[in-house]
Amino acid sequence: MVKFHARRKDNHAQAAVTDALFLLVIISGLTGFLLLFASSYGKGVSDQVTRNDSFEFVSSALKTIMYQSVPRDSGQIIDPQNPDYDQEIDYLMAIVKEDYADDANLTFNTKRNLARSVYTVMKPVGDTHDYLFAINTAQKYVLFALWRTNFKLEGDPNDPDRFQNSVACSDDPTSPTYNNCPTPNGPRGAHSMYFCDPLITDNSVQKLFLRVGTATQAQALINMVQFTNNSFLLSVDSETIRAGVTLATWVATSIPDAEWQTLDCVEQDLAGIV
Amino acid sequence: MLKFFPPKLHSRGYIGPIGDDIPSLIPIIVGLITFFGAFTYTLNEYNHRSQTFAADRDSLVIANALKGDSYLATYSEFASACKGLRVRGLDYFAGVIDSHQWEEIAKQANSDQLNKLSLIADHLYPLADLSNPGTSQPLLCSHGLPSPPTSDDLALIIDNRQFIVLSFPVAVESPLAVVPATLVVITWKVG
Repeated sequence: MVKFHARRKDNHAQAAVTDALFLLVIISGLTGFLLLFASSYGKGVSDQVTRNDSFEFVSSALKTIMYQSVPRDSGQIIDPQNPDYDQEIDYLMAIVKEDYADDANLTFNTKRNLARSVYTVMKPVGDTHDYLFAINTAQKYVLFALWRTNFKLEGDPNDPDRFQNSVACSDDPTSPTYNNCPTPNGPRGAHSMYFCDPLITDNSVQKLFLRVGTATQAQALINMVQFTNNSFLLSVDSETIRAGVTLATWVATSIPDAEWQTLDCVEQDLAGIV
Repeated sequence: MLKFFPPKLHSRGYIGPIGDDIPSLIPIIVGLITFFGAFTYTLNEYNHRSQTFAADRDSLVIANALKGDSYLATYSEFASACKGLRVRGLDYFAGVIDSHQWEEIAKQANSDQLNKLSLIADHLYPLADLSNPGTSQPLLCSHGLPSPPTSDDLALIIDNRQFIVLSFPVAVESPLAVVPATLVVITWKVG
């Protein structure tokens, strides 16, 4: 015989508490999901916006460099507020092509004009970002100018082979980092301009990009002409060479010696360049 | 005569059909408060970030419209791009300054970055206005500021508002040469 056991009245409350606890567990899960969503929402969009802004800046900078004109004598500068109509001025890219044509190299005059143009255009980000400007053919780098923030590496006292910290240098007496990097000629400045000569056949530039973190790059192609014989006639003794122009920038970071040495850089007198 | 009836063993603590459910209300209320708190926080965060992204996007739209292909040949080109701007919910200041003026601005600003930003209004690049031969106009496009805005107007906004700054290099064609300049766009919410 089957007996019907009615639930006793005093068990009701216990069941209600258990139900409420189940509800609490479900709500905790939902709350966790909501908070996770709130903390991560838009992170990808935000990164994308930053990337877009950086790329837009670098591509605009490259266009500006390639459009602009400079004095043929790099010892002079153009002052648009007080124009000097006796100055001999030409497009920067025309000067580069003309200089390249005779011996496939650029003179210091042209390199200085290029470096100054890049420096002027990149000035808004120059305090916080390092950058490089390069012109290369399939065979070699015709120009490789690098703007680098100077850091002093502080070693780990327990392990001299490791560096623990890097501090910025400055020669500005009002800066908190003033005289962090003393040299026999006085405090080292915060930034330096280098002309480098890396081999295009090794991967030194790619290794540099791996070291510096996220770099934003813009590239363009130009046609360069090179005379192949002594007549210097474009129609007879010349060949057209495709060259790449690269402008890349990254947040200033220290570059380890191993990568730096492969770039074969020579520091330039910044006052003479800018 | 009054009789004392002791409660039955199984009825101890029983305070009625509703009263017995009172302890279960505690986790329910805690759960509801937690859920709606998290929901409100998420909704606010979502709205706030969406507005920020919209402002970032609109600032970039303004900058792209004004700089075109990064080459400014005439004032009318810049002026017509400025007139064509349609942005909702944002006020803005956009001006082009000669890149050689950065040192002058930095000197005047005396290491104060916000001051440096407001001084841009006083160093705008003047470009020849071909519609009025012999005259030149500063490359300026603003909305929600007195016309023409001064560095004091801009400083007031910068001091009191949350703002977005974008800067892009542009090449400007002067009578003498094509010179590098910088387009600076500052935007803030209307209101």
